[in-house]
Amino acid sequence: MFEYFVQEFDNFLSYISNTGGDKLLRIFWYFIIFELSRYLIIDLLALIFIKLKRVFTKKQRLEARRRFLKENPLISIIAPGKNEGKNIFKLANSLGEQTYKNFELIIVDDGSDDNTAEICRDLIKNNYIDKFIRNEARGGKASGANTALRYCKGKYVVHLDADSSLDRDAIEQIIIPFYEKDNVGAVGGNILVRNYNESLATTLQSFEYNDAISVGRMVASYLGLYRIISGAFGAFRTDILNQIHGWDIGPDLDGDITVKIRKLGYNIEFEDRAICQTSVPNTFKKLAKQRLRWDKSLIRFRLRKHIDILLPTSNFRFSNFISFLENIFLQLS
Amino acid sequence: MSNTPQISSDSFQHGKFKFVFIKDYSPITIDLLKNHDAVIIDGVNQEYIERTLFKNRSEANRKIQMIPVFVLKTTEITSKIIKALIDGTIYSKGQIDHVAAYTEHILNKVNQFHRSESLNFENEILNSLIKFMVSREKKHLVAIPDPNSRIGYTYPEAAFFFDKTEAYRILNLMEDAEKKGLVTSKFNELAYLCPNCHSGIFSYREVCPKCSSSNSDTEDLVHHFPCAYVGPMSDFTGKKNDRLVCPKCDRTLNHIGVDYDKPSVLHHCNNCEHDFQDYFVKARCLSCLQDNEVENLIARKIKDYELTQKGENIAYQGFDKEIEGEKIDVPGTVDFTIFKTLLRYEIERTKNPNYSSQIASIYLANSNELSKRIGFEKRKNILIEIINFLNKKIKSTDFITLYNSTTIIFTYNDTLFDEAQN
Repeated sequence: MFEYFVQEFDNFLSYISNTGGDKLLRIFWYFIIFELSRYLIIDLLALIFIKLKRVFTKKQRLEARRRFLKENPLISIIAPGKNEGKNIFKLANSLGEQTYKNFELIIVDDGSDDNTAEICRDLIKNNYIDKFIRNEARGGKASGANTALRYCKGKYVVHLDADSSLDRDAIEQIIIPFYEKDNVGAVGGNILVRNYNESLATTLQSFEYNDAISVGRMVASYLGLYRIISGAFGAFRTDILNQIHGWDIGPDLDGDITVKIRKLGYNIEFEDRAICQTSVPNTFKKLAKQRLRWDKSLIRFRLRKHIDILLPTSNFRFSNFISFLENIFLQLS
Repeated sequence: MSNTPQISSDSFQHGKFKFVFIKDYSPITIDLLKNHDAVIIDGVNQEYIERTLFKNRSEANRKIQMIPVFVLKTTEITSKIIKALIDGTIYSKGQIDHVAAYTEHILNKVNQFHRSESLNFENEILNSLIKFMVSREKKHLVAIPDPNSRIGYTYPEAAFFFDKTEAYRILNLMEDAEKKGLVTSKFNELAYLCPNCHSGIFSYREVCPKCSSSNSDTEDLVHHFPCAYVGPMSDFTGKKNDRLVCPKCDRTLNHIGVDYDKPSVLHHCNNCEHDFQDYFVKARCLSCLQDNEVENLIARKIKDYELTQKGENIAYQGFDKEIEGEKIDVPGTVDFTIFKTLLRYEIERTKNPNYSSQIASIYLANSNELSKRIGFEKRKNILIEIINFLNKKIKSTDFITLYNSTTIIFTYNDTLFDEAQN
């Protein structure tokens, strides 16, 4: 068996050397021009610049943190979901450990048919939750989030998935960019895989998350192209959310709300130091189902609803244009 | 004690018994009752009858406590309390014969009762209660719903021993009696009492979980399907006449279940502006105004009791040591049994013509009234204060004893009468 692989690898190397560079370029031009340059060279360079920039802007960061803590704004943390009762206590517990204390936790039960309501009523009695709203009929993720948004009192809204848990300083880290940079409308948090050692599927996904989310989004944010704030962990300015009336229904509602905020002229940032852990599908079958759900009607929906990004209207922004194009073309490849 | 002449009561002899007729609102004195064997109340006003009965039965004087009381019935007596406390009814004065026999029966029983008293305040009440029940051949003590009682229920035969604010003490008393085997019980009802003042009169309210205010409004939550906007009904009303219009997408909501739904309700507290879905239920005690969570209310069983043979025997034989329980122990006093022994020696000494000793007693005639007003503990403290005062006035060779919870007996040994009187 081992000899077979060695033989095949040898054949591959022979093929490459026999084919020659110009022929390879003709076959793999799309990969070399778009993907290699974008996802390897540019990413690497961007990472270097990001790390260097952090060294030189440390004081700025500290000042932003100081201003944030001095203002001490109320943060509304919302977590809509269905049948998430078993996860809510863990979430509430990890929030209790946060370094930043001035927040209200709003849980929306979107038509659960298990004991979620009983668990949450008990948690609210014991002051783990500030507000609990139960909708008897399921309305979907968007309506659940909008229900919570309607009763938020905070200056910022942090949207979490009910099965998320946060690092102790995650809330603090995700809000600091609002004070560090100008015109920030929303900030996406870093998602890591909690159950990475459960199976091969979860291990591979943990690599993917590290690459596509942690590194990829860091670079996209640096380049001004960051396009999807994950629903698992994202922070928004409440006034902006109210301006756009919250989330809309449909697939890719995370991406949709990010695009809506971008179209208003605000910047979207990614904060890799704000860490959230989540559980990912532990079998390939479940993984395939999840990815199908994520990609379903993506292009059709985006093209139908937000095609104006590509048009030269008064709200045209070059960064939005590039980000949108990149999403349409490179997402497919 | 009132010195007002009995202008509206008749006194008459029937056989060997002396009856007194009392009309509505006429003043009743201890002397008046002491000099008669039975009372007939000629009353229309049930409140007056009840008050009179309570006053009778709560007297410290045993005779007055046990005195037979009848009502000249001109109207229907609806009060269950009165029915429990009176010994019978007549329709005219000419029917005295009907009650005379029963009067004799009651008084004969009372004369057979043991004269011993208890030093324990609670036992003293139990003693009176049992004697009353036995004299009337009542075996059952039944709890009656009573809106005038602090705990919502009353035992008419025992209620007058306690002030209204301490109505719960009857429950403690009867539980104690049951433990001692004097009564058996049967469950009647469960009452919830304030942990602060033991009252059972509450105002139950649904309140805001944050500030406990009951000032709140409720609205339906509306979910508009096309745009996923969710908000209270007030977000959708007011823009176009009676129509519901979505504030997000400006579309009119037409058909529930098709383009919109009402998944839940939300309450808004007008006091602290908190929004919530589940009320807390709180019970505000209307006696002490403490606002209690319903989980903190004290659940007390209201039971009906039946006198056992052991309980009945108390009336005829008195309390034995096992039942007596806790006694008042006051420094400077001797036990009554020891006092009797010392008194015997002193009596022997007084047979010497040159030797003189005196004996005196102090009796708290209004002890029940005192207990009702200031409570048992303070009444006990008054007794102790009196004893301490006496101890300073008498010689070290004199003795003081507590005969019962209302009577102090003391001696002036080797003292002349005039000197003692001074």
